[in-house]
Order: sequence, then C-alpha cells, then structure tokens
Amino acid sequence: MKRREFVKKIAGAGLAVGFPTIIPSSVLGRDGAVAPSERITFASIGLGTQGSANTGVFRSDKRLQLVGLCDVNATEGRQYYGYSNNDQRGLQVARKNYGMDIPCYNDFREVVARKDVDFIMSAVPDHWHAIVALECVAAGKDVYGEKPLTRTIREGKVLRDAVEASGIIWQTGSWQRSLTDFVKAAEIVRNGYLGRVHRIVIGLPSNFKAEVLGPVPVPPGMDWEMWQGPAPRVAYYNPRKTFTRWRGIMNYCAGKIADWGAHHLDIAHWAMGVDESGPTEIVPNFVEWPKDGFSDQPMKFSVTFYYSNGVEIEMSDMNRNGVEFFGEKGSLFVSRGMISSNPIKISETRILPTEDRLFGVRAGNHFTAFVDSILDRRRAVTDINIAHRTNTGCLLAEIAYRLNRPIKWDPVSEEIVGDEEAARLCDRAYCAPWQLKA
Amino acid sequence: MKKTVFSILVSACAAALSPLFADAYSDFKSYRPGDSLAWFYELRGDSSFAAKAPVIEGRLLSIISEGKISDAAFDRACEILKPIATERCVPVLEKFLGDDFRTPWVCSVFITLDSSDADKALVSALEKAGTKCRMDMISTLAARGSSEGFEAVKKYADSPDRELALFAVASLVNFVDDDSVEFLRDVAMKNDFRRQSALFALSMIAYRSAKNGEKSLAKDALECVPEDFGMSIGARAELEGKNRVKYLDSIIIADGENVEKAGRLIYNARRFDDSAEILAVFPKLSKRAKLAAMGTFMLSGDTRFYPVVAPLLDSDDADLRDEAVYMARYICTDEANLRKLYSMLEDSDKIVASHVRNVFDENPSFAAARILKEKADGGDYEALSFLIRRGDEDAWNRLENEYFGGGYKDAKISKMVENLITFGKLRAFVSRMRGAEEALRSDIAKIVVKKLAKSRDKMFVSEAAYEILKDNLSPDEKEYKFIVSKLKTKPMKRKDVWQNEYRQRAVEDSLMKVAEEREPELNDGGFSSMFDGKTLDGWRTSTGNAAYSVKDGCIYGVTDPKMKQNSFLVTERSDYENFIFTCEFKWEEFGNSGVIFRGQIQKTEDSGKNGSSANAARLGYKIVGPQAEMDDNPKRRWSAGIYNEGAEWKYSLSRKDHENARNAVCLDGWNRMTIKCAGDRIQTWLNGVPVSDLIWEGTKPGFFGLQVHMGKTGKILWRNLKIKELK
Repeated sequence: MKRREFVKKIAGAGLAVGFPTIIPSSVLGRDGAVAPSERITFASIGLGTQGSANTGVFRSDKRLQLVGLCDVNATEGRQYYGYSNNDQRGLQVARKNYGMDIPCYNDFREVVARKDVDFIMSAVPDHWHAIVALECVAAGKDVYGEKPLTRTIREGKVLRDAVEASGIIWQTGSWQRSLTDFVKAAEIVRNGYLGRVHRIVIGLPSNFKAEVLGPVPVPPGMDWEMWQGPAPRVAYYNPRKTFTRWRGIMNYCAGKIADWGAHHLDIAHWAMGVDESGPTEIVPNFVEWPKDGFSDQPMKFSVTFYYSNGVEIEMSDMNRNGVEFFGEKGSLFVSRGMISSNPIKISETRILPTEDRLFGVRAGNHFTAFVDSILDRRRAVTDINIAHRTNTGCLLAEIAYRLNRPIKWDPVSEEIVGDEEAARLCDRAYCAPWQLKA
Repeated sequence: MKKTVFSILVSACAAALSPLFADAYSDFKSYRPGDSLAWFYELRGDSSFAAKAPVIEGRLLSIISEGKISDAAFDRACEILKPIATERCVPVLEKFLGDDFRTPWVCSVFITLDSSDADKALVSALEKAGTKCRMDMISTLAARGSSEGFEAVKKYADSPDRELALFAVASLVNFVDDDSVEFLRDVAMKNDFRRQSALFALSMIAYRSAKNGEKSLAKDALECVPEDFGMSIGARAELEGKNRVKYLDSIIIADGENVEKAGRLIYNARRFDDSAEILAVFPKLSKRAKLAAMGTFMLSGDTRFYPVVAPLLDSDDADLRDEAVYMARYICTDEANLRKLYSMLEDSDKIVASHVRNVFDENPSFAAARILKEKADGGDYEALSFLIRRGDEDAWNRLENEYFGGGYKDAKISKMVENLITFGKLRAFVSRMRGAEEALRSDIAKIVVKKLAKSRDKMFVSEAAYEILKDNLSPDEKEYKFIVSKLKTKPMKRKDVWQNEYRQRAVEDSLMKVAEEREPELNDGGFSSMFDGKTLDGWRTSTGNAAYSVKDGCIYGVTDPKMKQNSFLVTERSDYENFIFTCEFKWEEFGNSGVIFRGQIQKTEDSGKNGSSANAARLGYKIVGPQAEMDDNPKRRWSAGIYNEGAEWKYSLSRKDHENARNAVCLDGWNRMTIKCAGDRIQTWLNGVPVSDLIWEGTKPGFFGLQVHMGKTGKILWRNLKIKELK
C-alpha cells in the first residue's frame, strides 16, 4: 500500500489531468524522480575522499536510493586530519550529509549480506579492493569499484574471473573514459588521423614525499585492525600522514603509478585497441628512491612499456600530466579539460558515424552510465577485464622499477616470463582472517 | 640513530657493499618504529643487483636468526627478502610461523617462493599454530597450490572450528583438479554451513577449467551446483559457448523463476525493440517474474504491454490482479479494459476498488474520459466526481448548479461539494451566498470551515479566510462570526514578508541610491544595430550548452537542463567601454537570464583539480562581469538590477523604495532594457523606468553577452539590440 500511495502522490503532483498522451516513463516525474520502491538501492563502502564524492554523485541520480554506509573511520573528522577537505571524510560526516537514519556499518560484510541492496559503491584503500569486491560478487551485487582494480596482479586475475563467472555488472571508477576529450582523442588515434602511432608519452603526478614518523595511539572511533585488513600489521602512525598518504606505502597501494596510471594508461590502451591485452616488455628507465622516511615509493620514476604492435609507452611523473600520442602525421595531447595537437587541425577532426566510434557513455556521465548498465544489463563502460589489463600494466611497471630491471610479460597467459624474482612480486600473503577466495 | 661497534664480520660484508652505508645492518638490528629507514632503502635498492642479493639475504638472515630484532625491523627485512629469497631462508623464517605478528610476513616471503621446503615448513607449522596463524598459512598454502598443501588444507575443512572450516573450504578453490572437485562436492552434498562456500569454489573451478578447455572437469564441478547459483552462470555459458549476458537472458526468458532481475532484463529487451518476444513469453513466466516484468512495463510507459497484462484482471492471485489494476493507471488506453475496470468499482474487495479509483483519477487517456463522461451523463455521481478531480470545469459547474438549485439539502451532494471544492474555487463559491436563503448560507459556511480546517497552517488559514470573506461577508454577519469562531483565527491580510528572504544576498543595498535620471533618447540616430535579424553574425557562443538561434527576427536562447554552467552568446568585439545599449527581451518559457556587459572570460581555478568528474567535466572557463539581470521570479522581480556574474549582487532591488523599479518588468510580454556605462557609473532602465544607478570601480572594457542561466527551463527572445558608443 505504501508504495502505491507514494506513487500516487508523485504522479498527482506532476500530471496535467486529461492530458491525452501517455505519461513518458510513467511514474518518472518531470525531473526523472522514481518512487523509492522502484529505485535501485545502493550502499557505499569506504567514505574517504573518493567514496564521499562518488556517494554524492550517485545520490543525485533520482533512480537510486542510498540505503547503507560503511567505513571503519568513525572519528571526528576534523580532529584527526589537517589537510583541506579532510573534514569531509568518514562515517560521521557521511551520516550528517546523507541522513542520520541510514544504517551504518563498520564491517562491510554486513552491508554486502543485506538482501535489499542492489549495488555496492566500493572506494576502500587499494589493499582491500579484491576482498570487498569478491564478497560483493559472491553475494550477486553489482559493483562500482574504485580504481586501481587491485593491489596485486594475482588478485586482479582472481577478481576478473569471479566477475566474469557471475554475470554481475562491474564498473571501475576510471571515469576518464566517460569524458568527451578522452573519447575524442582515442577515436582520432584509432581512426588513423595521426598515422601509425609509434610512441605515447604519459605524465603522472609524483608520489608523496617521504617523512619520518613515529607511531601514535589509535584514536577512538578508528578500527585500525579492520583498516589494515589483509595487509601486514604495523603500528598506527599519525593519521594526518597515513590517511592522506596511504598511497605512499607499498603495503596498501602501488602509488601514483597505479592510482593515475589507471586513468592515463587506460586511455592509451583504449586508443591503441589493446584493452584486452597488455605490454610484452617493461623497462624502467629511471627510478629515484627516497633516502629515508615513511613513504616507501619512488620520488621519481620513468618506465617504458613495449607492445607487440610496435608501440612504446613512456610513463613517468616527470612528464606533463596527460597522454601524448606521437604518430606519422603529428602528435596529439589530451588531459583533463584539454585536447591539443600538432598540427592543430588533428584535434578538431570530426569523426564520422561510420568510423570506428567509441561510446564512452550513452548519456550523462560515468555514474549514470553505470546505472544504465545495471538496468539493461549491458557491459559497463569500464568493465572488469579492461580495468584488470590497465592495472596489470601499472603493477608490472611497479615491479620493474622495484627490481630496477626490464621484465618480460606474456599478455596471453598473463605470466611474467623468465624472471622468478619478478614473478614473486605478483602475489602477496594475506593476514588472517582474510583470504583471497578463489 | 643508534650505532654499534662493527664486528669483524660486519665490516667484511660492508666492504663488499657501498662504504657509505656500511652500518645499514646495525641500523637494521637496532631498528624501532619511528627510527630512520635509510638502511631499508639502501638494502632494498642494493638487493636488485644480482651480485649483492645473496650477500644481503645472508646477512639479514643471520641477524634474524640471532634474534632480538623488533617486529618492525622483521617486517622491513621480509619486504627486502620477498623477491630475493632462496631456499636457505626457509629454516630461518619457519621458526616464526606461529607468531601472531610475524606469520603474515613470513607467509609473504613464502607465498611465491619456489621451494618445496616452504610447503613442508608451512604444513608442519600448521599443526602447532593458533587459529589466526593457521588461517594465514592455509591461504598461503592454497595460493602455492602444491599437492602437499592440498592434503593439509583439506584436513581443516572438517575442523570443528566453524570459521576455520569455512576458511579451508574457501581456500580449496585454488586447486583446480579432480581431487579438489571431488572433495568439494562431498562437502556440498553434506548440505551444512559450508555448502555456499563449496558451491562458490566449485563454480569458480568450473569456470576456470571450462576456459582452459577442460570441459569434463568443469562438468564434474557443476554436477551438484544448482542452476540458479549465480556464480555458476559464467561456467555454464562457457560450456555452451555463449556470451554470459546473453546466456543469462536466455535462462530468464526460458524460466522466469531464479531471477531477481527478470523485469530489468525484459526492460533491456524492450529498449532494443524485442517486445514481440517478450509479449509472447509473458504468459509463461512465473509469478515472480511476471511481477518484475510488470513493473518494467509500467516504467516503460508503453501501452502495447497492457493487453498482455489485462487477462490478469481476472486472476485469482491477488498480487497479480492488484498489479494489473495498478498498471492500468499509466498504460491502459483501450476502452474495453477500462470499462472492465470501471465495473470493478463495485468489487466487494475494498482495496481493489480503491485501486480502481486511482486508475480513474489519473489515467490520462481519452478513453477513460469518454467512459466517465458517459457514466456521469447517466447520473453517476462517482463518475462526476472523477471528472471534477480530473479538472473538468463543466463537471464542476454542473455539480455547483445542482447544489445551488436545491441539492444542498441532500447531504450526499453537500458532502461531494465539500470534498471536491478547491481553495481556488472557494471565493466564487462564497460570493453566491449573498441573498441566499438561511439554510444554504449556513451550509456554505460549514463547507468553508471544513475545507479550511483541513490545513494545519494557521497563517495560511487566516490569510485564506481573509481572501475568501473579503467583500463577500461583513464581519457583523452571522456566518462570518461562525466561520471565524470555528476556525479560531482572525482573517488577516497577507504580509509582504518576502523581501527579507532575498535581502541577505544583496550587497550594500542600504547604500544604493534610487535611480531617478530619465532614460536617454534612443531614437536620435546615433545607434547602430548589433543584430541583423537573420543571422548571428557578430556573435558567438561561449560557455555552457544552451542553444542559440534566430527565430522570427529575434535571437532565441534555449537552456539545456543538463548544463552545469551558465551559457552566454557573446559579441565578437570585446572592447566596448562607454556606451548606451538597448534591447528588448521576452520570456517564451521562464528561466533566469540577463545581459552581461563589459564581460570578460576567465579560466576557472578548479578545473580538473578535484578528482570528481563533475568538476573535470566543466569547460574550464567562465564569464565574469556586470550583468543586467532579467529576473523571471514573479515574487522578486529584480530585472535590470546589476549582478556581478558568478559572484554577488551589486545593485539589488530589495528595498522598499525600489518598488517602482520592481514593478517595471512585464513578465509575459516584451521589455525594453537600456544600459548606460560611462566610466565607473552604470545605469539601467527597464521599460523607461529608471532601475539601477551604481558606481562600480574596476570594470574593464569587454563584450556583451546574452545569458541563458542553467536550470530546468528557460526560453528567451531578444530583439532590437542597438548600441551608441560614447566618447
């Protein structure tokens, strides 16, 4: 009864009575509002920087209803953080922003086990990605999972297999594929307006600078044990540093190479049409490690990928942020909010409907596209294998500079060729009670 | 940083390494959390050299075996050892298997170490360890995938510790072979708490083996997995050589049970115009799938679906019948079905009847209106009330006439009037009280009271009572007193409180002087036209996605409801400084707008800075400068006020003495707006009425821009754009 009454109210408000045609999309009001009982329900796991932003965007989609929040950080945001925007993180702030009546959880397994949740937005730290995602897959939830896909290559393979075995809809948060500039750039390259492309240069931001830190007591409201999860246990460090900077620590993240590589390398793969493949050789050109400090990732790095089609991709934090394609007929640079080329006319190319088109999103943005996919069960814009292949490239680069030697990769069998030491870095042990199921 | 005296051995080793970091090992030995990690970076860096790796491994292992290093030092050492470890680290590190903190680190070295000793070490340590460490080791053994590991892990699948048993069963998925499948099948058959875990593992093994072409193993694995187990979809599709999504579609269509998402899949099919197939399959679907499908039919708004659903109106199943009735509200347009529904009004089931009532209240089809009219003509009061609720004026007049023609004596008609009268009709209704007979007057008063008493908003009741009673009844009349006493309110005139709402947005509005100067002469021949009436030559689009075109000799701007930024059609010239500008504008559809002058284009600071796509999707530019507002808000009416685009009000019309300026705007017709800029003085006129008079220092020569504000609506016309430049 409740559902009926609600729909009546909505429909009554927006309806011109006696109007001779049928209401478009029926109960969808003029602004696309859907009755709550018809909405797709979702829960957010991980309410940090990206998690809060994603949740906000999803909430603004009128087809969706937020029904659960999950984070291990229930501290008073501002008290423990010092950086800008940091007071907008964590469970307490999320409750304030989205409604105190939304059920809150510390343990993501409780959210995933809920029958009334249609999809999960997961924006946990990278070392958690595979576990949370696998839990969702096993429960049959569709997932919007943040990039980079996983912390290790084996996790990526396992997750990819699980998603493909299940028939859920997976979308990765590499939203650059849904921006028109990147779509256009990839289309220009794919349709040969640059001639044969032989070299692609990618610029990423640098890793966080190393700082020397001592351990501190865990603040109340923070479930540090759960935050670490599958990662090996360490003492709690000053959260001002750890929580903006877990990306600087190899136990949790591969650093900016995976964080931003998931965007830019993804675009390069897309443009070259090697979405479902990968590099054959990865050569570290330059790596500068910190001399001391908390963050154990390179201060500077440069890696080159070689592909079987003869293209080389140079990825470094010393290039300008974006993707630059060099071809026989000229070069094309694309970055967030900018696309330019030499000669200039290449970037103004109009791609015809009959050419090789890439439809990043059908309409709206990366987030609405995911909801469309949930509704019509089509493959999402950034499906699992795409994200896995991109992430694999980034993690191979990490392994290459970590060992400071070239490594060879077989993109078909997805194995490192002839380097046992490198192969060892493709997997990691989990701390109990966590395990990589499958 | 602590430093110890070098032993002979250490210095010998150090000599082989870089002399600068000769003390790396002693720093390692004494490392406590928070100390410098320079030793770690140095050793890890050196470990990538093939010649140095064995030396480093040996030294670290010897210090570890001596004991007395901190946990933090141990974890850093394992980090270094992971890629370079050889078999010789096994005897040293295995001693720590069983230590809660160190076991994961040892496992992280062992997990990918190519050595059967590591398996043996893990298997033997399993016996002695506690639950947590056991789990660490089980998942490590599973990842290693050796046959020894399988036997060891298998044992724990029958452990009395539930958590451990589940953990072990889940781990078995890593062993893609017959033994593992056989064991997991046995577990699944036992039908206990491990069943789901076992089914998951079997499905994954089946998927992997099917992908690798080992079809018989895959079939074995799937043997006891139910068909509706979600994870098995991939394996089954793989075995049948189908795309997994298509496969899912096919099983849903074949058998509607099984699926949460049947309706959505059918929705999918509809979007790709496969409705014929759906319509054919609908009667065969299970109840649950039918309900899901009906939901999406309704959401689709497609009337083709109703005839398939209509037979369910006779269904014995209350849920299905209910849903069929419910859907009729939106997608039923054929007369036969609507007539059938109308007959269901007499249904003994009150809930069904109430749903049918909703159908006739809201079904927008002509057929429904036709049926109701016919019934109402036949004297059916219920049909008449449907028509009134649907907004049929004739039907209301009919009821009103009947009421005043004597029907008021009939309680049923009086009740109907009370239920169906709207606030908007009350005043006219009460005005017919004058000169009427006593009984009618008191009945009308009662209706007014009942109607108004439904509102809990006291303010509203008092204002509404004032509006209704003003000039209709005098305060000393009996009915007036009756209404006021029953409503416990004093009729009061509506207060003009709205200006306060907007006052806070105004900047320095108390300092604004009221414009008085007369509008300059516009027909003195000094003006040149800025728009040729046919093309947008001399103009170009700028930020935002609103569409600008030429329509009937006017510039026509239409908003895009999706745009995230205000749109401007700007002049190609951008050096207008001192001028008198005039134009005429009109709203075809309301939406905020304005004319920007001395406009500048600016890069936005936040483009792409934040990680969210909403920010990065912005174009990166915005338009700033003074704007003569075109305000569509009928309450506010701040047209020709000056707004600092993208920032704040410079000259708002919020004060009482701006009354004349506020009233200058004509919301449903053409308005003439004139802007004069001379140095820092900016003046505007609207339809000849002086509006703004502002001194604003620091504006720069710039372009003109016709704004279409972001928002859901807005269609604006401009014409007669003329300018006279001042020296």
